[in-house]
Amino acid sequence: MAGCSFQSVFHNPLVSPDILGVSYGSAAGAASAILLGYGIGLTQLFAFIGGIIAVSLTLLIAHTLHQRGTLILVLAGIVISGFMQALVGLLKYIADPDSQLQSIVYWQLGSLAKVDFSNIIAVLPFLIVGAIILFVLRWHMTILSLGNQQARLEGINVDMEQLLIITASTFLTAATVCLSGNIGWIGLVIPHVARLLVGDNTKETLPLAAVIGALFLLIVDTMARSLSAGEIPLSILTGFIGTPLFVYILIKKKVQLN
Amino acid sequence: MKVLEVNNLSFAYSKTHPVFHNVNFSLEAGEVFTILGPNGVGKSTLLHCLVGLLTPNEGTVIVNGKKLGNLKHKTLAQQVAYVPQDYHINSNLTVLDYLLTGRAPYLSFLQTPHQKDAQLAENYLQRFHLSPFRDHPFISLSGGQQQLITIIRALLQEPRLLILDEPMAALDLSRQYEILKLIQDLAQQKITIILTTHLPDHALMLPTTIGFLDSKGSMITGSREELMTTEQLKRIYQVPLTLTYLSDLQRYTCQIRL
Repeated sequence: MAGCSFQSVFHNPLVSPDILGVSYGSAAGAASAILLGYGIGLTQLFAFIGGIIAVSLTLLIAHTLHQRGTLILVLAGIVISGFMQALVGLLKYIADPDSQLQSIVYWQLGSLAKVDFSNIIAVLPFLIVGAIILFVLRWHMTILSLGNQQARLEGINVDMEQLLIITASTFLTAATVCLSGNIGWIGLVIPHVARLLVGDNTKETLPLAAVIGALFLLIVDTMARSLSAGEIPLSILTGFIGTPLFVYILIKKKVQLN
Repeated sequence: MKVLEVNNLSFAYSKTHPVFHNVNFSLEAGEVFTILGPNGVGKSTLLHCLVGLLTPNEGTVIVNGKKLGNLKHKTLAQQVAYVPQDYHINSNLTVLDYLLTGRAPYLSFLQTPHQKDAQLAENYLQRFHLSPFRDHPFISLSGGQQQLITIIRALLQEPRLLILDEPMAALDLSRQYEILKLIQDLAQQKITIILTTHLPDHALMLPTTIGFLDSKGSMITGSREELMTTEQLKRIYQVPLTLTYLSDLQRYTCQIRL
């Protein structure tokens, strides 16, 4: 859902939910908690807060530059992601290679193994509120995807709705990433799958992307648990499945254009 | 009450780049106003100031008795529709979905378009013999068809003032005929229309008042009989040209002399 929303708001089909820095922010938060020797609960809390801080910094930079428009947001996101990436690198460097480093790497590769009902309940309010906001605004996202100027002429309060969509998407992403770690490719590829099936109207693509995304994760997680004796980190699988799928979609789209 | 009043409007991109100054005109319901002037004198910039996409340095724009800055985006979108010259979109949205975005000013952010909105859109498609393209991607249509669709989308806003920037630029003769006819019809329905055009003949065909924007950024306004003279047209376009009366069409035509 977050991927689908971001692709509409940023008028760009190639952005993923972590474009504003939420993933690396969460990773930095989680890594700090692991380094401080905290348990799983606090690690998840730190990851959530880290993700929110990263996106807030991105928005702050864009705001200080007094520039409207989505390009500046994307650029600020790249800057913050880069900073957070460096921070994660530093934390990995000083981490104890036998225990802490392993935990950080494992967290970054993503897994549902440490998710249980109690921590789902903890993030559930964010998931519900974020999902409802995005669902309600799904048709306005179609209009926003036509460009900010066009949307403004249709009477839409572009700045306000953009901020609302970014906030809701960030809460959704941070709430999932803090539990599962980074699981790549889903946010980027699944909206394209949905679009291939029902077209470019976010009104229909958004709910479909939510359903397909959930099913896809379920399948990948089952595979991760059953393919080998141990549990394969999810990002490895989503990467191996997601990349060829994306190439397939690009080829298919090109054929349609011709 | 005047539909539009423009008082002492001046705009400059910067001190070294002034565009126009002290523009004054006002329009009644059902009036057609054609803005003529050479390329690059700021016709589109002027239109952008009228719809609030640019803020003028001086002067006021009053829409139906209310100052432009004091109008809510949504209220403005119910009264004024604008078709820009450049309407490039970056998605595979179908013609119908694209048209329906024109209904946004009448729907709250909780709503998506109803059946009756779709019916309204289909009626227009039928009128312009575009029904077969209803489910085609907008970007797969020809330039002329796209231009017509963007005009229909603006009409779905049910505006009292319709602003068309170069509405006939990409149209063949039959489409030009349809648009000119449409402008006449709309004016009879008391909708006020502002258009820009490069062809003085368009202004000579329509029952319209004229605004000449010259390269120094001043605008003179007046009736067609008053302004569409050989001297004035020569002054504006700075080329040898001649006005000839076409007795079978009972109007003048403007042609350049090589």
